[in-house]
Amino acid sequence: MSLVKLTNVKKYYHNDSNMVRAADDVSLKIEKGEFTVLAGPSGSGKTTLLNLIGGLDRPDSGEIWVAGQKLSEKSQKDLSRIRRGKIGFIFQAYNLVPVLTAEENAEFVLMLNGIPPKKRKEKVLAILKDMGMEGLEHRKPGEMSGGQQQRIAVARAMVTEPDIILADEPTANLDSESSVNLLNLMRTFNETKGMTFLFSSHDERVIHLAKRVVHLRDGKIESDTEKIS
Amino acid sequence: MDFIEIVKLAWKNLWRHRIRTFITVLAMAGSLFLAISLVNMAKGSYSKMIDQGVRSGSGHIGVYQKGYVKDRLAEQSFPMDNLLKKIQNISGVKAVLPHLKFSALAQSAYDSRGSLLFGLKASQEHSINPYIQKLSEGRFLMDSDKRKAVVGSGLAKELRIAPGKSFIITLQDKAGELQSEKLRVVGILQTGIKELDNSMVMVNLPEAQRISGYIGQVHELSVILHSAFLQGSVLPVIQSLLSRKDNLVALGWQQAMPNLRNAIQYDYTSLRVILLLLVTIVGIGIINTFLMSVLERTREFGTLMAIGTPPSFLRWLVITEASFTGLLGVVLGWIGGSVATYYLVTRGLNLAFILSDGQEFGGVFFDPIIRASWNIPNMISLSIFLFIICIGASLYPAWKAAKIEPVQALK
Repeated sequence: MSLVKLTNVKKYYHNDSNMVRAADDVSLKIEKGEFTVLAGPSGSGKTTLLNLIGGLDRPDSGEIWVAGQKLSEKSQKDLSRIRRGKIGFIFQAYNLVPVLTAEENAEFVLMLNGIPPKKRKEKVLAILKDMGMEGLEHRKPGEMSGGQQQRIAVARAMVTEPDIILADEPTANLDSESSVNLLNLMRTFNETKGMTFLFSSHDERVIHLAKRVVHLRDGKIESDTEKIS
Repeated sequence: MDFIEIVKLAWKNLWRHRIRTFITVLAMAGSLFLAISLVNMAKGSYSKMIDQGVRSGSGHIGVYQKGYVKDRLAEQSFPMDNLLKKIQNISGVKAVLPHLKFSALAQSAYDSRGSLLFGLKASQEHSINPYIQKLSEGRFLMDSDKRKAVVGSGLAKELRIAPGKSFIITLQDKAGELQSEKLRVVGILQTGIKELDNSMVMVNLPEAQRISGYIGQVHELSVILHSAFLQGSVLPVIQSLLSRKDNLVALGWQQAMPNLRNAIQYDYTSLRVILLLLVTIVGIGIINTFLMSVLERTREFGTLMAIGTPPSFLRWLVITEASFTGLLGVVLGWIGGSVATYYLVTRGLNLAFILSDGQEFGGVFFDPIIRASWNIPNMISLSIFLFIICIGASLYPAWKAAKIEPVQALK
């Protein structure tokens, strides 16, 4: 069974007098180990699709399955549990907790999952080391660059070893060099640890690094291209 | 859910906006400081007024003929000797002061005035009755004094009498006949209470009994206790001693001095209303602060919920932040209130510059130097109340935090 499966998913928003078709009869499958980008211009429905897959939003119709769980049948409490166990999130604006250090931000979800402090520390230090963030564990977000903050956000998403990591425009706030570095880092984790990444972007340099490109326009899948690496 | 982690995060969040936290804590501490200081000051002044009232009037417990407190009739007297001795032997009783009181007419060569002839045991009253310390001229009575009187300053002024001068007191005796007696003034009493200063004529008890014909009789046995707290235990003992035949009753000062009790109740109720308004205003301010702190973290809370934080975590986080704020406010308020109370207990607050002489409260002289008293149970209950207000003020913001929609928050 596919890791993510969307069948005829529709999500419409009413904006003043207009109806916006954010997801218009979308069917999509993501397999384990993929490194896929949802590409398309602003308003094409990339964020909506990621929110639906992440259980942050519910479709008007259609079915969404993630890691064997049918999301539409789940309560908010169950969705919350699925998100902290099976899904990792990376946001455009990093969205780290400003009062927590890099280490505390990265271990936050482990804490929610009830992992003991000692084990949390071990896991977080290991992943920060993998990300080249050694020595920055005790820095707060305000004391780090955008690229460093986004790496911590990636560490926070990956530390629970989720089934899939969803990243909404993860490079939008980064300069070109940091963007490529971050994507390369994510791709390394994808290749070495087999982690599944689904991210959105409209930056061609970022899209270029993906193994599969799903183009969206007006809430519909315009094209779905798998690259041969 | 790990409460230790919530506590840690809440503590860190508290210092996110130091100035705002400081102002919120200060508002809470300030209101608790005011509440503790005002309540302790009020309780201190009430205690002092009650003490003055009981020492100069009914005592902590007064023994009367039934109906005397309301009617004040001369014939509502009773024999004192056996009863006085029995009451004196009760544990906790400091003194039993016999009083005989009559409406009378005081006349001098210049004028005549209605007055109150007050028979008392001079030597016993001397150490207890605070008004005796308030002589503006002359001396107080001695037990051996015969046909001598201490006169209120207002009455002395109207009659144009002074120590060494004499005047005539006329009253209706036990047999219904008018009796007059020439008394010589030995001292002038100035209590500050107009009613007393304008009418009081104090004589030795045997003199009052002799003039009135009520030999061996009194209208009031004023029982002074070692502590006001003993009233509850001593009152039933005295009541058990009273003879039904003589139709006697023992009343606490609250019944014997209803004016003072009502004045204190009214004053304390007013104070509580003011404190309630103060706490309400502070509570609204706290709700506003907590709500603001939640609303400005909408995106952050949305992110936390998106990564799997349960809504209850955020709810408890906000409540815990409020608890810390409340706790800090209570600790600071307690310290401030204690320092103020200590100062007001030891030094007092002299309000003489705004209070004119002769202020009275519920029929008792109001000392312009207000001294507080320690009321630890009150301080604890005020602190708990304010802490609960703080937690209560956080419930709506906490509920709001838990209701944040991640999709909306992350837009």
